[in-house]
Amino acid sequence: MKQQNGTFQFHESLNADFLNDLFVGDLGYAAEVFNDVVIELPQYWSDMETAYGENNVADLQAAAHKCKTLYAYVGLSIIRDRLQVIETLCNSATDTATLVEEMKELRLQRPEAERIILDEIKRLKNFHEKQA
Amino acid sequence: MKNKLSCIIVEDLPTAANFLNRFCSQSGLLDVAGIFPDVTSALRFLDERTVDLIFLDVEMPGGTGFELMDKLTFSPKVILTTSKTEYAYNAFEYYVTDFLKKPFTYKRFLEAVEKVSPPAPEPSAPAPAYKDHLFIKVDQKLVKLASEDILYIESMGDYVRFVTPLKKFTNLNTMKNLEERLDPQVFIKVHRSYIVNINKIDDLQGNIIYIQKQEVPIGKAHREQVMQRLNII
Repeated sequence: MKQQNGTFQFHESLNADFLNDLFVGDLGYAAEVFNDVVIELPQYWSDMETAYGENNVADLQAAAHKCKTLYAYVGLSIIRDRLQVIETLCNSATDTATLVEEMKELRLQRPEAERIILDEIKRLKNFHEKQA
Repeated sequence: MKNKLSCIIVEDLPTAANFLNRFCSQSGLLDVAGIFPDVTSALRFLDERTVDLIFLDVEMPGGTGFELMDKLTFSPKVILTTSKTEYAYNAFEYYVTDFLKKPFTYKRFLEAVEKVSPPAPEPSAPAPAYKDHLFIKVDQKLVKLASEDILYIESMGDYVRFVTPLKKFTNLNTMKNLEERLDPQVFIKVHRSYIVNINKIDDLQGNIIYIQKQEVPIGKAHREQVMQRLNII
């Protein structure tokens, strides 16, 4: 997570190789994208919880898919993979009750994921401003 | 200098749409004519004008990207943008130009765009041979229809209706498929839901074509092309 040789080092929980390919050094834009993701995520989390509560497997799958895509844009592979598991399980699930454990694990990962993204936005902005 | 391709982005996730829009600008190869969060608003736009390329998400509120492709009245290039690889098989069936798994890099984006070239007919290429008839499946049997007997074809959701002077035949089919199979010298699409046999047109008033006293509407997006094809003196 330390800056080395004037290059930005993404948080160790993030897929740094992928993010470097994605943003090709444009850290100002990376900060914007991280910020957009933070703004968009709550809606899909809410959709996911609503669908889960209403035992609506199809809507749960759709919302999990959107969350997964958003986490992928910030390189958060662990939570993205957890969402992929839920999305896949929804293909055969007839009841959201079969996803209790997966949802529990997912909810536990959420606060840490959010903290990492918010910290990364600050770090990206600071680094970008210093570079400018 | 190479002309820019016109394109639209159909994508409900703003983060993904903004990303793609930025890549389009950065490339200098594309003019983004619009960004649409759902199939309905994109189709409304495409009723009025055509584009060379559509960047198309699959799962969106109110309809899928595949449903949009089924309803297109022209044949733009399509690059599917989705994070579900399960759609790759459907993409293959729809002859899409490329399949970009979100999030994708600029390098991967450019590779996809480079596969799209402006439609330019090969001057030396022989014209494809079209048969003077076709067989359609109706009630468990194949019925032979001579092209010259078809007055017009009407889309009805997942079905199409072939209208001849004596009879109407309903068949499970898409307008897109028919467009590719019918001789473009004889048949012309005049509306999102209608293809007419140009030799059967009796007259035209305003935006209505009359064929044997039956009315066929002309869509705004098709009017110019229809007028060009008529032998007006």
